[in-house]
Amino acid sequence: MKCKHVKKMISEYMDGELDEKMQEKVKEHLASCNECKRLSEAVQRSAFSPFEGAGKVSPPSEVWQSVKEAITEKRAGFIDALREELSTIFTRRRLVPAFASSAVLLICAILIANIYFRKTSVNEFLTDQENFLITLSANNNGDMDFGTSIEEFLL
Amino acid sequence: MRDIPKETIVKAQGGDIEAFEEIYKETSSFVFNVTLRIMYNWADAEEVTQDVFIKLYRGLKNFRFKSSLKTWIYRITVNSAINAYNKRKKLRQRTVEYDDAIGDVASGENEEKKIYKGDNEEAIRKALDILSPEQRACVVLRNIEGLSYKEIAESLGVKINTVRTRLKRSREKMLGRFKKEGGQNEV
Repeated sequence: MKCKHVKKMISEYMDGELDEKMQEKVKEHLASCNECKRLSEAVQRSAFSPFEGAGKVSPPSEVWQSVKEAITEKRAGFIDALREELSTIFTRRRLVPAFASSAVLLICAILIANIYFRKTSVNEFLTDQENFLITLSANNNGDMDFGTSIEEFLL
Repeated sequence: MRDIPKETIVKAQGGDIEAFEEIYKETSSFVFNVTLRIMYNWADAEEVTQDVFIKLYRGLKNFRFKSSLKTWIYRITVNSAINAYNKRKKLRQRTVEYDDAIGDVASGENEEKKIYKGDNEEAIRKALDILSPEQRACVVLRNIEGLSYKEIAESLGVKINTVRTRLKRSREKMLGRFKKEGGQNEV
């Protein structure tokens, strides 16, 4: 493996992010090439070693307090808005059943009226038909009495 | 940072503050330290950390478990820290110009208090100082937080190749500074 290729890959190699085969090739090259070995050591000293054992700190407790306040305020704001909306509905609440009841009554009235009138007209129709049939049978002496001027003309 | 149990996330999505506090306890150290390393300012890091968790809480209801919560937290943290850093930098530039204009020498003091205690903290500070915020984020996530290239790429919303390139360039810069400060004889 050539030095120029190894130098390009040194950062990745030191992160262990090359594939296994390439990692092995670079390792072999560094074992036999002093120049590249010195480079890797310099990169180690300047860009890796300082970060080893880097300190960590915890955020102060006030941070959580502030977060909690902020999200609780938002929730409270949301709850207040919801409460207001519900109270608006509650004040209208008496109207809603009134409208609903009226609507139901109206629908019922229409249905009942529809049924009644339909029944009435059906009854009337049936009565008419009955009468017609009675008439027909009463006049049934073999001749048909058409009774119209055209019929009389044709006959 | 450990994986957060799904049931905790679900409870927090439902508005359970205690569940959200569990998430906070598990992740706040990561968020705070990454922010602090990018910004090197305690007050700013506190503010950004608060913002991150408020954003997280508000956005939780839209979390669909398609990626891990950790990845999402990484992303919000890094984006928030970089944005805040850039804003502060602009503000600082304007402050310096103003101070120069009125001849105020005393307010030129921009030293942050010693945040981390450790022998190598000065070396870390110097190493990160010469990097852009994006490069700094990559180095912090890789060298301090131990994330893989893939995890860093997901956190930053960039390709793995971009992470690779940023880290490589960061290390070249750090090596350059190292040589300049007398380490050149050893190379």
